[in-house]
Amino acid sequence: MKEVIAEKIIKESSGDETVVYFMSYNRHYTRFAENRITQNMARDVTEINIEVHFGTRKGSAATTSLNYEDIKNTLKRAEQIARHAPEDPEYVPPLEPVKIKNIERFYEETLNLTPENKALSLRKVFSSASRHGVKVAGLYTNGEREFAVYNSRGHEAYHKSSEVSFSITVQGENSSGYTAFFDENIERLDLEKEYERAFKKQELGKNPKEVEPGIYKVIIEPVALSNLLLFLYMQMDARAADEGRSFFSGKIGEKIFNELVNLYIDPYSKVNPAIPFDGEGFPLGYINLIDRGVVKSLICDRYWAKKTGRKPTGRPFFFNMDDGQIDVEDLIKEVDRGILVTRFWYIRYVDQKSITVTGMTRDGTFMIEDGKIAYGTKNMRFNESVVNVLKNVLKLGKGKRVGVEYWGSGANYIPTVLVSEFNFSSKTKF
Amino acid sequence: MKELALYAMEILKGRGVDYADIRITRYNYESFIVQDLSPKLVNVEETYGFGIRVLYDGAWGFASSSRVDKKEIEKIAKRALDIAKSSSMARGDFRVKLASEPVHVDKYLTPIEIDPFSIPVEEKLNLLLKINETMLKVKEIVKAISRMQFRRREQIFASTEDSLIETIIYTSNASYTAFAVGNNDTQTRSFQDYPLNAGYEHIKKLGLIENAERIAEEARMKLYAEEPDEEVLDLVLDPAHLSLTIHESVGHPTELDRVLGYEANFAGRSFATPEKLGKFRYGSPLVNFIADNTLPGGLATTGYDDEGVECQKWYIVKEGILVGYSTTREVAPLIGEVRSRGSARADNFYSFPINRIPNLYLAPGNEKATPEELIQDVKRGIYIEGRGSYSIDQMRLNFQFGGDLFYRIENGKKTKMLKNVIYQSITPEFWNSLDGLTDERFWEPRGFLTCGKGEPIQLAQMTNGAPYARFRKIRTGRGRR
Repeated sequence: MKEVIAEKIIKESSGDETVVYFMSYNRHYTRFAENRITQNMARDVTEINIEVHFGTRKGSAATTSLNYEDIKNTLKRAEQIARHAPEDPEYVPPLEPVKIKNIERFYEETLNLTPENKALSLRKVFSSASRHGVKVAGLYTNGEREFAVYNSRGHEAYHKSSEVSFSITVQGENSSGYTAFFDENIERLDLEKEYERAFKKQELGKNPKEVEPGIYKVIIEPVALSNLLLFLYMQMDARAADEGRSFFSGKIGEKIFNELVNLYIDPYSKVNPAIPFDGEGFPLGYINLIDRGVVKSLICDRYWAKKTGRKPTGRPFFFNMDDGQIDVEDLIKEVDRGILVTRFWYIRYVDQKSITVTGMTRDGTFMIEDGKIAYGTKNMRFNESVVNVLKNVLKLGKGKRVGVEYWGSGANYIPTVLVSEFNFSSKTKF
Repeated sequence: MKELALYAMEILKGRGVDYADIRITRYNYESFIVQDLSPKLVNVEETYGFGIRVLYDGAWGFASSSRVDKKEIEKIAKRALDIAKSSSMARGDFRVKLASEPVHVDKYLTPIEIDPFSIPVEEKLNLLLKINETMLKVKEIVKAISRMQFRRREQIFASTEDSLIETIIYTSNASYTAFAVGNNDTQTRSFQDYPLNAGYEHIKKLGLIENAERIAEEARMKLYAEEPDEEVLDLVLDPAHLSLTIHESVGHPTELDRVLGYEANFAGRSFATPEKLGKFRYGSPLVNFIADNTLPGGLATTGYDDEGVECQKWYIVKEGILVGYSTTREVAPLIGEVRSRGSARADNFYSFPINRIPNLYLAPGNEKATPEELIQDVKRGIYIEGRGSYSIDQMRLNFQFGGDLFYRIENGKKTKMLKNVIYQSITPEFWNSLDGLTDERFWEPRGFLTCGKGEPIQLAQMTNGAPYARFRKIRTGRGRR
């Protein structure tokens, strides 16, 4: 259906070039808190965005209506604003046709999970929580997304994926524990196991002690590390680097990070399959960003690639970092004194050039002494450069997929890391 | 639209629901982003659809669709009801009971002078290009990004309690940023988001072109500014900066849903728990935080919220004491309040309304005082303008803020420019250290278009205003380790 609509729009368009984007979500979200379902929502929306080019002038218009008359009016609106847009000195024409190898990420059974079945399985979790005298809050999502791009040069990109994600916070009197799950296939989710994992963290963290801020050895678990790395990844832009605005300015080929660090893009990865094209339908392949600590390449869009004589990379949203074979329990054994972080919260840049960020720990922060979890700690703020974190990696633990909510449903694949020093700068009251 | 909304309610009245409502909403957006001299985004968008919320046996169900016709309304009403029935299987002993609200049959329209959608696209884009051209002429400016956004929301709300409310809301905004590179550093300076529920007249009054060269010059000057040492210092903060501090450390902690644990998995909880109401010293006696969803131009000034509660004005903190929360019809009765404060907002027809920060402002001082007079009484401190880095813990206690422009204060005078300044404090300690406010002449409304909360995340809009204010003995330092 999408292909037919796109073909009709492209045919009717008066533009020199036309690109049609479809984004569909059919998802069911169940939110819970205080051991009950608080919001239970079905969302079924398709957005069609039509981009029209006249020479180097470009404009776009979008609609959520699937009525063809409305779509035609959207095309007219796109034509109208494109005609009145200024010339774009950085104009690039739409992509030439290129075949994109599909990735199977759709499981019908994920869609078959009904609100009733979700309520029944959550009820079991709520009753375990009540029995344990704790409270749970979280989000349980299932559904599908489709993303498609068609242009007047004949390029087509289409991807459909199913998604199940589950996150849970278990709250005790003065401690909490968190875990999160992401996959395409509902059959890989074990709700009770996820609850147990978060519950154990909460139990371990009971009666947390205040710890003085300072520099500590840390174990950072995947959910926490994924959010930190996002701030590094956002700096890995070739144009920003060339313009002197990024940490990575002049750093290609330099060994900056520990040699254990390999960061790359690979939508065809077995551990973390992802959408195989970017927002304009550009095919994504393997991109080696950091190889054994050496900066190998940066993300480069088509305009900047042409201007600087590079190969464009597309603009992928999901990345992978190689993991190790060590379980977190064994990483803990390696630490004489340090802190284990389950989750970071409210991370923001403090200084983009050095990729220094700040944020807080939450939902499972522990002091490790003599190779064992000694006690839960009250939460702390950190001010640290993500560059230093990757420089100071001592060991890699097992990784997992960490769901990322963007235009395409997907995840980063991220290890647990043991890092020799990490700067906690202040403390809070809980 | 009206007939369809009423039809949905008729269907659900006959199905034994506790309560139901429908919002049929049409959003029109115009978004423009110009990077250097290249128009990167020239986009118009229309989203149109409806969401039905059903309360059945004390539990919620919600479903939405972008196909607005009778048949689809029947289908989605049934789906919302079925989902509510599923929810009721996992509600334990808790039953949602809504605070009562008078029946409203009304219309509300943002008062505007110039419809922003009537201004030609090229006029808006040429203005942005001219801003960037001006900034790029300044030495060491390597990049200029300017933006404009306009929004029109037309909504019909109907409920099984027979409320029928039609609203049309306009929002207009423009902002820009200069990026400077030199002296082995990168710095930015912005003409920051100043959105209002207003027409294009707001954009005309902003002085966008007039300020472009100054903004770019200040970005360049930051390259050569000193970084501060770690020190405990006095701070004088401007209204644009304070709007963010207020938003994070007062707005969010006093959303009653998060106080009660509804947001524990993501947005977090709050230290401002109900037993503190009427007793807790949130700030010094000079501190008055007023919530006002009737504030002219305020981004939450919408006549009614998204569950048909009339917009109101009330105190959150009065003379330093915590006295109120923002609430919805679901959570207000849980602390014994009889009426919702009208703070339920959804970010589109497909979203479930949640408890949001209202328009919330720090009231100006009663005594006449200028920013210079606040500074005169500081021996050693820092003056901060605009928003920068921001982060706060999930209970809303430990926070750290940066800013956009910084000056050292020495012996009562603004002296050298600084860069990369941060300050860190604990919410009640910070607001209790406030000992000076400028008067109403220096009060400014500032706003947020992308306040994120909820799962899946929703982006809400509200105005947070402030005068200039002075704080004593705050821990300050530099951003870089």
